[in-house]
Amino acid sequence: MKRVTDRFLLAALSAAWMGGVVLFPHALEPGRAENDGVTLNLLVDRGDGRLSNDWYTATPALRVTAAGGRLRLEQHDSGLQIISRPLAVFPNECYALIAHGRELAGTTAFAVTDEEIRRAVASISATASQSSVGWRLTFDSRDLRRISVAILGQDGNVTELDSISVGRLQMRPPCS
Amino acid sequence: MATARAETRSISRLTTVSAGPALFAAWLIGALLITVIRPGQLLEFATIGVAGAIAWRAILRGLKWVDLMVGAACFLVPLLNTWPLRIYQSLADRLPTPLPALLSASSLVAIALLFGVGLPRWQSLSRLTVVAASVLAIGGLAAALLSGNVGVSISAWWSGVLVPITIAAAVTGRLYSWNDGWRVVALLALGALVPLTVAVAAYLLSFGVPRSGDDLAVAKVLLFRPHLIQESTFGNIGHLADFAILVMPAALVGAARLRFPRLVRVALLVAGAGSLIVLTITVSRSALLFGALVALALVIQLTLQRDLRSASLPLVACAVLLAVSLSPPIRSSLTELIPRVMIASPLPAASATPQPGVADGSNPLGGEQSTTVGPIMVTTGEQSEIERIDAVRTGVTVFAQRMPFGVGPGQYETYDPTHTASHSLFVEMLAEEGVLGAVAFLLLFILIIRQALSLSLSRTRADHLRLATLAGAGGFLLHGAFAGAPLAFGVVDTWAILFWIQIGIAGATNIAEAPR
Repeated sequence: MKRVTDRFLLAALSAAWMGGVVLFPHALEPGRAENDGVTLNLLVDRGDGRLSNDWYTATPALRVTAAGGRLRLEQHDSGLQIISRPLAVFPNECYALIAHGRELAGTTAFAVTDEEIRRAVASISATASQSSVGWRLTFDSRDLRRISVAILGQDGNVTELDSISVGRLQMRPPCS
Repeated sequence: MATARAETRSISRLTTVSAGPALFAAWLIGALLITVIRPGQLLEFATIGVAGAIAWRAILRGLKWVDLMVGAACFLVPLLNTWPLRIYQSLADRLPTPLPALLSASSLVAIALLFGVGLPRWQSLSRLTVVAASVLAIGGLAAALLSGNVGVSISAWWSGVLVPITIAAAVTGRLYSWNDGWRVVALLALGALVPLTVAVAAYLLSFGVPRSGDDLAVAKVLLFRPHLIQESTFGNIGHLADFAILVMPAALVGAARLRFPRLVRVALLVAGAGSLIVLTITVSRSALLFGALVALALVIQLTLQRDLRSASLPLVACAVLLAVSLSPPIRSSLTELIPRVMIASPLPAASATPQPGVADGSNPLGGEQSTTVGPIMVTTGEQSEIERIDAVRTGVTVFAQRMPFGVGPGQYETYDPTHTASHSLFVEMLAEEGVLGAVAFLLLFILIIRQALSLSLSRTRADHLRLATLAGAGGFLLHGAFAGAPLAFGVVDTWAILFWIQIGIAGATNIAEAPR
């Protein structure tokens, strides 16, 4: 009896572990972002103990403050300001980047790139606004399986972000 | 009377026998559910099952309920800040009030339960450990009460300082022999197998097997960005390296302990190898260096004790870490880390005063930077080192503005939003818990030196246990002092509990000192 139990235990654990190894690539899409879209949190460089941050600063010359569910970026350098974690997408599908916030000074750009920030897929400039507005960037994921969202700006820009999300559109390229 | 005793025995046997199948059934249901809902997390859950089955069959089964609870708590400690816990903890926070507060208060109940089932023997804890823990707890409470954000700081003090110390005291106080100590250490290492396995799997999935130092260096650049290995372990690659430093000595020394069943030894060997691989792939230069130093210390001490068999695994670990450190791309970045130290003259003017929410703008973006501490001037040209030195300087300034009590636990980031951490555990404790925090750190440092000296003269059966735990805690504290470590992370954290349990065992007076 004991031997039968041991064999069953061993078989179950082995099967689960091997299954875990086989299914582990699904961990790349923990939120099924490629299918359901994803709303990025506004944590930069550091999680809050419960959530890991979705954003990383790309320059030390950036002042990031978060208050009242809003992320404020005061830029003191030109170029990349913050970059998102890689997000899963289906290749050759249409997606939309939707951001809400205020552009208080300067003109900040939102760009969708490959996960290593080497190749830009699409970009949009945020229009200046003292009240909260929405910006929408529709893009084709091309041959990519993972993308990153990058925010670019210039010295003196001040941007406040309320939310940023990426959603899958029910259409095939060209995405207009 | 005899009948009552027999009934108690049979009930005890019945519960012990049925607990195993019940746990397995629960795990099996969980595995099936997770395969459907979150297939990417099955590996983690399956590894919990494998490590848990080994822990149950070889260590936990047959223990009294009190020891069983303490043992189970030790097994779960390494999982406290990992992926599923972070996800499901955030789910709890979304519940309507007052449910999240009630759930948070459950830590009170858990601790009361831990103590209620069997009070630990306080007198068995090392006096210096108790004093250091008390000083830190009192310093943290005083700083929290005097901070500008009392509620949040008290909460961080409770979860980041008091709960870890209390859990460690409860665990250490239940030790009656060096065998009990090894049981705790083995359970910690078995639990550690889970995040170590997931970390290695995440790395291999993303980058494949590294074949050279260049491969490691290229992968490192991506690792410090948002990456699966961070997401699926502790959310921070540096904290993963600290975790490996804490676990590696106990796993390597324990793997050579013949009193353990073979299955446990193999599991400990895998945990030790996993720690080694994690230290290698994270390529945290300071962690590599301190990992190698810790392994070297183990080799020297075990060789002095003429236990060459136990010394062989740390020797391999030391050789691997040194080989990685000396590979061309890593070696060149390691040499850049070494700053030039010289006598400064004249003394520079005082630096700017940081205020809450205001960044210290003194960080240059290029060239060399000099930092002066008294008559000593430290100069470096390496960018990350410049940022670290700047962070340390800002930390000291934060303390100077809030002397002597500090800004309060969990409050440092508010005063230094640029660096968010001071990159030195000593300075962070100084800034957050004030003078008492610094005193606690120094007391722990003294304790480690004292225990290391006494170990070199000792010849008892508890030597290997003390050595393994001392190496883990000492390596973590030293690495933290020079590179920063998450001792008070603001949540009930793995590192703090692992550290306090190991330092508790290393200094415990209740472990039988029978000569070998």
